[in-house]
Amino acid sequence: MSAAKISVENLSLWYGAAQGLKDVSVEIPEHTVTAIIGPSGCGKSSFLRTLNRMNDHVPGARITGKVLLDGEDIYARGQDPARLRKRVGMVFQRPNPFPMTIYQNIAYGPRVHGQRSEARLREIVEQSLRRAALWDEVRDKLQKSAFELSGGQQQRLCIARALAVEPEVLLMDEPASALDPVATAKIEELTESLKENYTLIVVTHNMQQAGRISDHTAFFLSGELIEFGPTRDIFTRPRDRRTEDYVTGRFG
Amino acid sequence: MAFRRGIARYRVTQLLPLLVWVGVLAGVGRPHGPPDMGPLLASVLTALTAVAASAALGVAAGGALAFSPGGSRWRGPLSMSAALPSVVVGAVMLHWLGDAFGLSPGIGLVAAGLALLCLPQTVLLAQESFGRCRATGEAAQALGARPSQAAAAVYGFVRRELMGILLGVAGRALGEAALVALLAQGLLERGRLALQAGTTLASALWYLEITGRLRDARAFWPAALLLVLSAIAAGVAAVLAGERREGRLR
Repeated sequence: MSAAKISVENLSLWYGAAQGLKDVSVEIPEHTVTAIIGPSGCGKSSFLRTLNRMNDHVPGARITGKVLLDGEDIYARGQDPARLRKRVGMVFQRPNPFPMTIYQNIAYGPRVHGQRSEARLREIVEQSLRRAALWDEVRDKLQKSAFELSGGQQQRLCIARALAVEPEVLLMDEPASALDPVATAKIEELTESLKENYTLIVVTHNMQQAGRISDHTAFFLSGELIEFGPTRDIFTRPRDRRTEDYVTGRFG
Repeated sequence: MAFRRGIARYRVTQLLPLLVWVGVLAGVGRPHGPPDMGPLLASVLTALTAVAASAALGVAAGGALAFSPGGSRWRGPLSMSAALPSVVVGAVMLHWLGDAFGLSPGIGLVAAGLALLCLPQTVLLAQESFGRCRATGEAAQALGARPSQAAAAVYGFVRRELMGILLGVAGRALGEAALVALLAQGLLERGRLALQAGTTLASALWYLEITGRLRDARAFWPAALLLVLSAIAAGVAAVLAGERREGRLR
């Protein structure tokens, strides 16, 4: 197994009095795809959002435990969430382009982080769109509104936008759940190609998808991490009865 | 040459007093003179200044609060501040500021007072508008944007609502500036504070009207029209800026 990019130690999360995550500990290896599976409300998305501190924006949310990125605690005093999010990018369930042109959507992140050179921005835009397998489809309409793209293209645009800030980790919260099978297949191919350069963590409800795209799988239930391991083992030789029940469709 | 210098000096001496109420409210000392542009000019300038200040500050603050952790905590105090009866507070504030700091009640002071009074309403409405685009704002923050940068990212979604906010603030500012201008005119002409115990705004206006000191009210229509047109122009500019960002205009 490759070295751990993210180490989570005894992480618990509360939304007011309700506990969302219970004492989760896991190590996410570098340059792999990790799938997070589990029934609705089990804490998959909450867990994902703790990895780039997006839960900071939820009123009443608080955590205990540690999340280490390359050995550095992201919740330590003095850590800047904006800088963290440059290293840990995120793609959401529904495509959410900004009300701007395709070019401006991609250039937004680098500009936020101080990139002012238009020549460099053009390079970044092209490179990001190529990585997201979208360049050939939009190269002639970079100055058109991002809303002129189809749903699948918009989601790949959001992935390109996240890649433009050159993150080390990419969190994807059910990135294909709002897309048709053709667009979903493109996102899955993309996920496979991205793991060479990035560490990917993907929340999915789709068990087949988890099996197709991931190297490791984590199974969550009621805020607890029940099992984590190589995807093949989780789906063929689960250690926990609850994991077996879930992956074989007995519940969920 | 001497003649031109004289004309220039004349213009300067005539225009400079426009910056304070005494100069703006022409006709002081000749209350039965013909209607003039004083209150009209005062109202428009005051309201425009107040709109510009409160719209710029309010929209920026509302956007930043919408995407700040804990920004919702400000909603209660802002709602209460927005509900203050600003006509009375504004008129009292005018005199309080004058008394406390020895300031002459000019356009700047009244505009600052009005802007301050319109600010909670503007912030609250802008916060609501930006808050409706939370998902997109979150996407911007996930890229490392600060709250104000996230607000800029979703600006294109809320530009039409912001135009409505500008119009609302403009209408409020015009109405209140006009009333304050009328009151100030009454105060100057009568040489004493009109808002004493037992004196209401209506009775002060009624007094001015029956003594012939209230200027021709119809003179305010062009001012209202001018302000509404200015606010529409500002709104249209805001909408066009959004269109350009969206790439619909090239």
